[in-house]
Amino acid sequence: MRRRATSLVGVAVAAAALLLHPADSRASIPPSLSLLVLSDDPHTEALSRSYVEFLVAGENFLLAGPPMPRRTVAECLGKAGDVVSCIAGKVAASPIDGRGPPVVVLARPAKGGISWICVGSDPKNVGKTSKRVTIDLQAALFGTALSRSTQRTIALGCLFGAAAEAQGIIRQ
Amino acid sequence: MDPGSSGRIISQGIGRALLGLAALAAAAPVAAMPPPLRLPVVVVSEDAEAQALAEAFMTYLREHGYFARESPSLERTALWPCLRGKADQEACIRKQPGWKASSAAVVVIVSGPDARTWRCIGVGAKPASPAVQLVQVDVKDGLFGSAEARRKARSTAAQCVTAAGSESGW
Repeated sequence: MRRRATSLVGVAVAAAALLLHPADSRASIPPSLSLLVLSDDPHTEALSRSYVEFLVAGENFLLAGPPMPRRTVAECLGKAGDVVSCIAGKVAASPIDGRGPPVVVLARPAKGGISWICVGSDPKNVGKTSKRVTIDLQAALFGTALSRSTQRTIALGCLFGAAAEAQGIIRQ
Repeated sequence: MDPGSSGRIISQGIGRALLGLAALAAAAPVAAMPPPLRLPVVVVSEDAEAQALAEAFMTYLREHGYFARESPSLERTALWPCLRGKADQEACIRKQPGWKASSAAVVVIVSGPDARTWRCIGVGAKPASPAVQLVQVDVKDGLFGSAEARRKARSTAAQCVTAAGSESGW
């Protein structure tokens, strides 16, 4: 229960950071994210994008379009070495404009659902455990109100945590 | 034959061909198919969770190449008066002029127990294929069911949307 309360507070703080210290004066409520979801597994990518749409339809955030073309980040999937660091380098190099902070989600199949690694603009934060989460999609979409809320909190914590990395960094 | 009727026949022929393509898309591997149809689709429901779930499934269909969804040209809120307390929601939506500016626009009303009833409405005065435009879609099966259950749910939903799109005559 305490862990759940802590993560709820975490999401609230991250969301507040996006709203109170916007990277751009055109920040909105709900916050706007420049988001790209990708996976080397097409089914996992489709499921992840569907869940993102579910969150958008629930007015948790607005989608401002991807921060970069998918193929730019997909290059990282085919390379040997640390895929996440490769993606972090691409996100860190992408411009932060008025559309919303850039976030890339690397989705992978996982036991009990899908795993998301949410990558924001600060490459120093790549290893943060709060941005590596597992989402039980069946519970997230078809579970009880409590389990839907729990899974939503996990996903939003991942996304908003990565988005908050753009605060204070303005690159054009 | 007058020019109007020959135009209608050609239009119906194209519509049937595209419906056939949609049926093929439901059965064949995506890689073998031509580019998907571009359809502005908006989902409406009195239940916000059901609406979000159907939007999610729409994304899933698009990701699997059943059709490409363009941004809908209509504000969902313009349709709310048709949903609230109306006996015939479909007739009300068909009478709303605002959303028909986009030629092949589609409105999907999601309702019923477990939000499984999908009613797909195009820009025409009546459904092009009534049997496939009022269907039961099990989204849970479509996302997490067996391969056959997923195929069936996706195919049912995609045909519903595509048939409504065909009301435009394309």
